[in-house]
Amino acid sequence: MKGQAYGVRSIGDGNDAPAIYSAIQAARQMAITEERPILIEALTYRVGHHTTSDDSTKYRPANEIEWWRLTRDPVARFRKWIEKNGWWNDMAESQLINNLRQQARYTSLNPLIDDNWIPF
Amino acid sequence: MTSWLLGRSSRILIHQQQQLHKGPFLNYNSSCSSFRSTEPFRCRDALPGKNSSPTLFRFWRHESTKAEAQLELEQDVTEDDPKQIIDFPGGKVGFTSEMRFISESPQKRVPCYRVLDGNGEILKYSDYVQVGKEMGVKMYSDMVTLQTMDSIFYEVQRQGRISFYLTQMGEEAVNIASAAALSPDDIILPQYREPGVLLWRGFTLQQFVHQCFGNTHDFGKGRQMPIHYGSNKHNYFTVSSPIATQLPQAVGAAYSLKMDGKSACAVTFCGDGATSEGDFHAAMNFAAVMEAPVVFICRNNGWAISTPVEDQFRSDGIVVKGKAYGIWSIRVDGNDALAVYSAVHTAREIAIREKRPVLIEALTYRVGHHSTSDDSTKYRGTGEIEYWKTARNPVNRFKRWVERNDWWSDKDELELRSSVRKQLMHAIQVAEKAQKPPLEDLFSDVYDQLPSNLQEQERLLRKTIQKHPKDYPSDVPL
Repeated sequence: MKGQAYGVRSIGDGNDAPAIYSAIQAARQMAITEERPILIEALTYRVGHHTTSDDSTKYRPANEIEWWRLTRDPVARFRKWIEKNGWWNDMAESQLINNLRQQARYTSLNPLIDDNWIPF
Repeated sequence: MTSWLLGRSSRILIHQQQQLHKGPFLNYNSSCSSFRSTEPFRCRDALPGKNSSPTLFRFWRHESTKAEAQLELEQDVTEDDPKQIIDFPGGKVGFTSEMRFISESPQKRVPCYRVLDGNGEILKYSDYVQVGKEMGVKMYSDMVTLQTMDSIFYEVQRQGRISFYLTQMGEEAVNIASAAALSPDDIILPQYREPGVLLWRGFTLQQFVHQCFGNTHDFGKGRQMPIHYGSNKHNYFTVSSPIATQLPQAVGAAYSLKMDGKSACAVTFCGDGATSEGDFHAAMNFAAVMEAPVVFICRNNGWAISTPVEDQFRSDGIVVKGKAYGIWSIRVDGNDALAVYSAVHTAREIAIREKRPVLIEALTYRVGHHSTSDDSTKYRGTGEIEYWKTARNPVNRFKRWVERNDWWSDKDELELRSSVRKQLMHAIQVAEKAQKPPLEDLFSDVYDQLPSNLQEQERLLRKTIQKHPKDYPSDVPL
């Protein structure tokens, strides 16, 4: 509703990756072709603490956090979709995770070896 | 994929043109609703699948259905399934498969509440708060007094007898009618174009003149420019020139009244220009979240000095901003005294009884220049000014109504105008003869006891005056 209060076109979505992708692409098109601002409200949830200086269980219930972490996980949700399309499988998942773990481990052990290596 | 998405975007745009969002705008009149916004988010007791509750189990099945629906991007679901919802902090939100952007401004603008037509007749089926003879005559008399005060003070400034002035011309109804609808216990935080509220509350013409002349009788002791009136006795905060500062202050004052259990609210005024200040955002947000009993009255007179509203915002004015912050709001014909009276009266009741803020956008027009430092014919047409000055004059409109009720006559009019003019002329003579405040008043009243740095400043100033006496005004006592 704040978009309308300021005279800005707006839309809402959140943990649905294709919905976000579609909304942002359309918004970008409008912004450029019509030379106007667009507001997107992405309804999502911060599963982790605010920072390492925070313990969010002090001000919100643990089961609320669990609900969003498990049932509404955006990564798991998108994975189901690409798997259904036949673009992804368990093997690819395992390979990706192992590869990333190796890179992270290598980087943490050798932080200064390769300055040109671009962190992911 | 790309071409498909582009195609979809085009279709959405066409759809957008055909089906602009028409959100329900709350136009609150006299009837009172007990409706309150959705209860804040409450976490469910258990996760789906880990509880045998039939309700939760059904939800779990709907979750699967929803997930499948979400995956079918190319499928258009024209009707939103009411069972597909997200339980989100702040309340439940329904899902939709339509990529529909809420328009920046509704096709049809929020309607403007009014009671009197241009001829001073009450419109058929009008919903309004009754005004009796005594109240009506006093309202009209004060509108005339305000009008007369403005024309005389303006001339006095032009003659160089006071340094600055700012008129209310064209906005007399917002001033007087809103004051009439309030209680003396309600705390007023004005902008600068609302001295009519102070007039209504009993600030004398002599007191207005004293302030404009900045003499020893001025409550502000000459430390403020003319028109920066203030009075503890009348619960009227001193005018603050910086735009919008009074808005968050009003929220704090309102919250204080609520904590004290007072049957009163804070009422704060601003122009349309103030809504573009950051303080407006903070005030609205705090008012809503703290549920402060405050009435925001925005005089949208179409111009923020020389900036017209269409160059200031692209929203449908100010009334739609209330919804963005979770505040009830209404748009009122600011030149209709009865409409303003009814809206403010009702808003005040809502604020106090329900302990919540209310926003009123009063559509009006600044007939005079912004101030005596301005010449508004430089940036707006004289035809526009004349139209609002004559055809839409709030004083004349209300006069027709009180005359039609046989409460007022031409004789009364002549007597009133003559009397007010005489009182003002006399008051000016008295004020011009009065002494200016002493130099020490420049440093007093901020602290109970003057701290050393201010003492030093005063010493330095006096030393400088002794050295260069001719550079300082001779009428200011040392």
